[in-house]
This record gives sequence, C-alpha cells and structure tokens, in this order.
Amino acid sequence: MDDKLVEDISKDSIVRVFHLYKRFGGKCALYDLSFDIKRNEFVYFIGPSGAGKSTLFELLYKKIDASEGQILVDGINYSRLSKKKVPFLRRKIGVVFQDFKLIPTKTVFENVALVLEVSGKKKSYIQKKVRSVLRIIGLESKKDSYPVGLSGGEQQRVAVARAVVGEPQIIFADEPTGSLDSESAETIMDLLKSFHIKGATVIVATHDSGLIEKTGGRIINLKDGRIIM
Amino acid sequence: MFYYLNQTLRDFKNNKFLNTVTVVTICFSVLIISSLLLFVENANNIITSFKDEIRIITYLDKGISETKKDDVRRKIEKLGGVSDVVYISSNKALEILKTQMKNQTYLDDLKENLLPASFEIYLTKKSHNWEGIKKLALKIEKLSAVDEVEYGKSWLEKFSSLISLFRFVSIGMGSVFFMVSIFIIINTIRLSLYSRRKEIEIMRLVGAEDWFIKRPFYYEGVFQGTIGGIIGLMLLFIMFLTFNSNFEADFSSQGFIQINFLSLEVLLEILFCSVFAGWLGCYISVRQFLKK
Repeated sequence: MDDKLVEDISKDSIVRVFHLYKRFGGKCALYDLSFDIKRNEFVYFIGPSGAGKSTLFELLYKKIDASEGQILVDGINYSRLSKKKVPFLRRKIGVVFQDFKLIPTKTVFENVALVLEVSGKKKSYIQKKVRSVLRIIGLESKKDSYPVGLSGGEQQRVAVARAVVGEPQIIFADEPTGSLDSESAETIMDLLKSFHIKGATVIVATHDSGLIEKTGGRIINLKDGRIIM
Repeated sequence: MFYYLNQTLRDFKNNKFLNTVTVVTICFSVLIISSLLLFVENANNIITSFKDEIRIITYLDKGISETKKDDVRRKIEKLGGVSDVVYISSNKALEILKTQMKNQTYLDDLKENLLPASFEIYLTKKSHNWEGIKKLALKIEKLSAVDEVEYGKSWLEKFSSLISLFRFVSIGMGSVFFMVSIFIIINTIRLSLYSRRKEIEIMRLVGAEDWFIKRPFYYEGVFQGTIGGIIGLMLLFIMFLTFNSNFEADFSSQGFIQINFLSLEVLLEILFCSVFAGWLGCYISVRQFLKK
C-alpha cells in the first residue's frame, strides 16, 4: 500500500483496513478486506462459522500478523509497529474473547485489575476503578470468587469488565454471546451498548443476527474470508 | 512490588512440590559445598598453626667441646632463614623429658644421661616452606660435629599437599553442584512457566510488557536460592555444633586443636552464590520461554 493512502486517514476513522489478506500455509482465510470504522460507531461483523471473523479480530488486536495489506488503529500502522510497542497498543483496545480467557487462579477482582496493573496504575486507583466497574456489571458481590465458581454469563460479564476497565477507545467483542442463554446475552449486549453510549467504539463479531435487531448498528457481512456487499 | 511478591508467593503455593524439590536441592548443594569449605578452612588453620611451631633440631656429637659448639652455632646463625638458635644441653634435655613424663618413675633409675646436646633452630616466617626447610636441614647436616638433624612433622608436607588436593576437588565438586542447582532451577521455572502459559498469553493480550511477566519468576528464583541457601547454612551450623561439642570433649579441652565455623564473609559469599544460582536459573528459563 502506498503512503498516500495512509496519509488519507480520516480524522473520524478509528479503524482502517486496506487490502488485508491472511494466509495459513496455502489456505487464504481472509481475502482482500478493506473497510473503515468511525469513532463511536457500533459495528457488527456477521457471518457463519469459518467466515474469518475470529481471524480478523486476531489481526485487529495484533495477536497474529497480516500476510498482506495494512491495518491502522487510532492512527497506528501495525506494519510499522515494533514488537516492544505492541503492549501499549493493546492497552488502547479492550477485547472480549469468545472463550472469556479469564485466569482461573485469579479472583474476579484480580482478573479485572490485571489490565490496570500491567499499565502501572496505582493500587488505590485500581481498587476504586475495579469496584466501580464490577458494580456496573452487577458482580461486586462476587469479586472474591474464582472464575470456576461463576456461570457462563457471569464469566462473560467479567470478561466485559476487564475489557472496559482501562477505558479503551475501542472494544472488540468476538462472539460475546456465543455460549450464553438469551437472558445473559441480552445483559452482555446492554453492557456493550452502555459503553458505546459513553463514547467507545464497539466492534462485535457474531453469527447471531437476532442480536442486531435488538441493539442496532452497522453491519459488515463476511463470508469465506471476503466482505459481502 | 506488592503485586509481584503476592504473585511469587502464590506461585510457590501452587507449585509446592516443585518448589520444595528445588529448595531442597539448593539446600543440599549449599550444605555440601559449605561443609567442604569448612573442612578446608579448618585444615588450613591447623597447618598454619603447626607451621608456626616448625623448628629444626640439630643433635650434636657426644662430648663436643664448648669451642666447637660455639663454632657450630655461629655457622648455623650465618645460614639464611634462621631467626633463633637455642642450645639444649644433655642435662636440660633430660630435665625436659622428666617434666614431660612426670608420672613415669623409671627415668629416675637412669645412671647415665644418654641424651645428646642439641640446638633448636627457629626459622623466619619467610622460610616456612618445605623446600627451604629441607635445604637448610641438609646444610646443617653437613656441618662437622653435627650428629643428626630432625625437622619432624614431615607428615605435614604430605598433609598439606593432601589438603591442596582436597581443595581442588572441593572447587570441582562445588562447581558441579552449582551447575546441578542451576539446571534444576531452570527446569522448575520452566515447568512453572509451562503451567502458566495460558495466563502469560492472557497477560500479553491485555497489554503486559515482558518485564511484567518475568518479574514474579525472577523473584521466585531468587526466593528459592535465598531459602535454600539459608536452610543449608543453618543445617551446616547445627552439624558443626554437634560435631564440635563431641570434638571439644576429645581434643580442644587439651589445647590441641580449635575448630572454627566459617567466617561471616564466607557465609555471605555462599549465600550470594546460592541467590545468584536462583536468579541465573530463572533468567535462562524465562529467556528461552518468552522467546517462543
């Protein structure tokens, strides 16, 4: 991609993707993706299993690298980002993982506090902030519980709390309601919506089109690694 | 700081067995190395105290004249490395013998003093080496009117070389135990890292830098080294007290040999090595793991 295109970043855009390809061996998982997400947008990537949603998200929070093309998040060009700076990028992003990714040996409070600890926040601030986020998601009473003692819905709420506690500008949620009952799913979506209202850009990957009807937002369809218009 | 210490203690609790094995290994390595050091240090002290008492005894021909005696003394004094020459007449020698064997009465029945007159030759500090003593003894032996030269304690020479060999073996064994300890620490930390690989991945995904992940493991290694080192040295001290109380009853009370514990400086050096082993083992392991 030429530099002219990079310079053309709109001030309103927080995520820009240009001609993105991801290959695993000989197999192409993502094929020539280009899209633009504006600040404070609520965007859904929708598509069946195997469409490439999780691969796209892994690229967006830089767990894996693109085979071709470029990703810009909040003006940071991933292809020019050194390995040492990746942790600082991730602190700008909140991620809700499909499999929650909670640390089983840490309590609910410690799991959420980890995000603030890694960025070197003061203990008093961490205490205050984590308590307030746990109150919002309705899990303050379970702050000393371990993930194994929580239901799927509660675990996902903890994952949401961890994603938002650092007050990120962007929240990526990969199938956040995938393994939840409809009531828990609704709670999670309400939480994401409330953070969106507060100013965050929320990007959700899902195969459940029912979610969109309830919450609203822009839809980008993915199929076989391509964007379907 | 609190977070890291808390994390280290938690890791220690979660991997009790592995950590105990590591601490026990370090502890025994420290115990073995420091025992060897304790032995070598005390053996050296004994040799030094014996060396301080080294003298050459020159027995003179029977019936030697006063002039000849003074002549031999002058010649000895002119030889290098001599600090003092004391004459022991045959009567004096008998007196000394009687004092040493005060409970024996058969010496009183002696009609004739068969003991020869002698010179006790004391050496300068510089001459307290085996080669020098040997050469001096040979020179004295060649003087006229000298019957026999004895510089005793030649067993010290053998003992001394044995201690040198022992010291060499100790250094070798110490190095091997040091490496074994590091190897075990590497594997304990590696297993600890492996058991926490998912946690490490999550930490990275939420923005942890490598040092944030590494630090609790470093504390763990240093903690293992410190605890192992302290317990090892405490065990050594207990063993020393037990041994010394038995030994004192047998020897020390008679004023022969005094056994001393390792100096604070040496103890701190051993502890430092133990802590360093913990840190190094951790450093190697974490470096290898986080590179992946």
